[in-house]
Amino acid sequence: MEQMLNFAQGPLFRLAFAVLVVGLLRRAILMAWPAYVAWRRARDQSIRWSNYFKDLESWLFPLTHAMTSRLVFTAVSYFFHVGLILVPIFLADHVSLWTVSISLTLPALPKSVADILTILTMAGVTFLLVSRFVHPMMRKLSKWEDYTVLILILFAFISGYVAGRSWNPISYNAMLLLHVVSAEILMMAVPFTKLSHCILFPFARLCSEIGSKLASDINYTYVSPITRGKRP
Amino acid sequence: MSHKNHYLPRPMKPVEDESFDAFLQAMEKVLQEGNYGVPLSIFADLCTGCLRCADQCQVFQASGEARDVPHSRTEEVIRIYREFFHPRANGWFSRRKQQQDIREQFNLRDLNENLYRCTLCRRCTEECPMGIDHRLVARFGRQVLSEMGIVPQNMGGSTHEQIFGIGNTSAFPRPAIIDALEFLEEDTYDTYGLKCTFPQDKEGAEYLIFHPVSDYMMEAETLMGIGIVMDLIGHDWSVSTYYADAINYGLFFDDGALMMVLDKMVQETKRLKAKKVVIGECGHATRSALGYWKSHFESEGIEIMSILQVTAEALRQGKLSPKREKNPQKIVLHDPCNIVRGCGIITPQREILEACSMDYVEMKPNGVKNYCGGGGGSIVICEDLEPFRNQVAGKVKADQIKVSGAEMVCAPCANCKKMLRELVDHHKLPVTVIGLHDLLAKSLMVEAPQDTAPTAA
Ligand code: SF4
Ligand code: SF4
Repeated sequence: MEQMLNFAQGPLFRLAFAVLVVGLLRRAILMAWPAYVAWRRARDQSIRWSNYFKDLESWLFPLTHAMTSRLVFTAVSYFFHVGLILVPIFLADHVSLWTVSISLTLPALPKSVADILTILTMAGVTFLLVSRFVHPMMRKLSKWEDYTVLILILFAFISGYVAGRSWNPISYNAMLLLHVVSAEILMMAVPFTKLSHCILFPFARLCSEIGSKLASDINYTYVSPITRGKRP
Repeated sequence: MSHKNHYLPRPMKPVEDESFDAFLQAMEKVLQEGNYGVPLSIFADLCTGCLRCADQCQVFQASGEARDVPHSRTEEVIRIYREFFHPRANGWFSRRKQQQDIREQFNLRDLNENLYRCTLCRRCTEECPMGIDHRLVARFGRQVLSEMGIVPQNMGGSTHEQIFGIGNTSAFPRPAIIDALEFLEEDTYDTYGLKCTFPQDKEGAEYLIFHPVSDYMMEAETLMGIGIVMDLIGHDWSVSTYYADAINYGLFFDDGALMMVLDKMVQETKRLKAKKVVIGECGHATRSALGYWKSHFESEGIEIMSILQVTAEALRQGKLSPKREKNPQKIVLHDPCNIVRGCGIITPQREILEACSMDYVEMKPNGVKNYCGGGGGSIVICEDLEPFRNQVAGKVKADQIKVSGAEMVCAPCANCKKMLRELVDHHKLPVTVIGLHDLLAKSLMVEAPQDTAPTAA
């Protein structure tokens, strides 16, 4: 057990982290390079930055959007994201793992705050899972990936939360192993699933704007269906 | 598929090749010519299926069908792009299987119908946390269809007339336009007691106005209103009788058509040596011109603006003195998507309405958050889609109008007016539909026509 745990927290963790970083970098490049090329060839190279930043800001603090529609859903997803980002990075135990494995020193969250965030996240992810299942239209349009990702997150959070508790039904090490491995699977899944929206999200609006621009090197012409095929 | 109702915009000609490969080929060409691949490549991974977009789409709200959730409307196109054109994110393992699935499920008719169930209003994008632009994807899909030769009958016919035929979408010969202008002159005097000229093909006039050409037959009051305003301001203006049309359906389905129409406008402007081009009361014409002119023709040194901006500016400078009492009715303002969300023109129409009417109210929601009337994105042009637009796409708007309790709906857009009139008829709403400059003209009216009636400037 000890050995396995050491392996999971050591080499396996470094591997997962590498997959995460390299995978996301690959996604970023696959997005940024074509976007740059498209922008270079666009007739109109202006970008409405102020609109862009206003829009981005409105989603980083989505109060007005929450008021527009789906107040509860939006609020829950928001706080779920806060926990999901903060806890894996700044929980005290994680901070020491960062230091040991990739020698990165980070400030740690106070335990009580981390606990509250963890509970919020678990509640949030459960809510999202249930609503995906209960809401008829959401159920209809959800793919297996949507469920898997949520279940994986839920599992990683629950196992991490339970491991250190006195009422942990199995041994500390066993639970910790489950936690570490599930979290590492999650990390490796990020670049290959919809979780990659963590890096793509800020750029979607930019890509849309560039995508709607016409190219300067093309002489746009229209072939009417009436004369189609009649061309010399 | 087992949908309750089918509303398919009939293509102009029978489709030559309905196969999936023909679709792929067309898609490849469109991707090469444009920049659409950039957003398409990330949209699939971004969508979390939160369905906020469903709450925003007036089509889904009325139909409740899964295919009308914006997320599903564009899903197929995005998926095809991803599996066939993009160096895929989640590996190479399942690609062949995915491609096979797509091939088997592909149904050109359904796709065509689906893409023409979107009014291209862009309301969903405003509320998508991920910024997925369904309008852009639907527009891209239509471009691919057009590349295959699939264009709805009415739109294809009008566009053909405009680019390759008589020179405008309504196929009015030049004498008809000249007649109409002369008639407008007389009628302005008879109706409003104002002597006002409608200069034709005046070389070197500062302002050249392009109206949506259908206005010459259908919306004479709007044209009179604009004529009166231009005269009272004292602008040196003119319209062309050779190339008169601002309508640009290319915005809805084909970049080639879009550019060719714009090019015609630029050529005519240069021929008449005008410095400023004004687009009449029309949403999509304003967006296609303002949105693409700057980038493509700015080097020509020709300025471009909407008539709403011109009139609002004149009001601000006190060059017009409308009498609000002339329009005492309760009037509700409809925002055309292409003007508010497309061009960001939000206050000018409100300033004008405020100045020329006693009791104007807003729809809820309004401005950039407005609802499309149901005829956007060419839906109002296609005959085959009439039941769809009145029963489904326009339902939310009809309810909005009902709730407002107004006697009049004012819409500064030719297509919106046509759509709203149909809606009012269909839902038997106790309102009349009117253009913005129609109202302004009424408020500028001189009591009784006299020979000493004030002339312009
Ligand atoms: S709002 Fe955006 S992210 Fe949510 S389901 Fe619709 S397209 Fe997907
Ligand atoms: S653009 Fe408008 S009509 Fe089209 S899917 Fe979005 S909200 Fe619906």
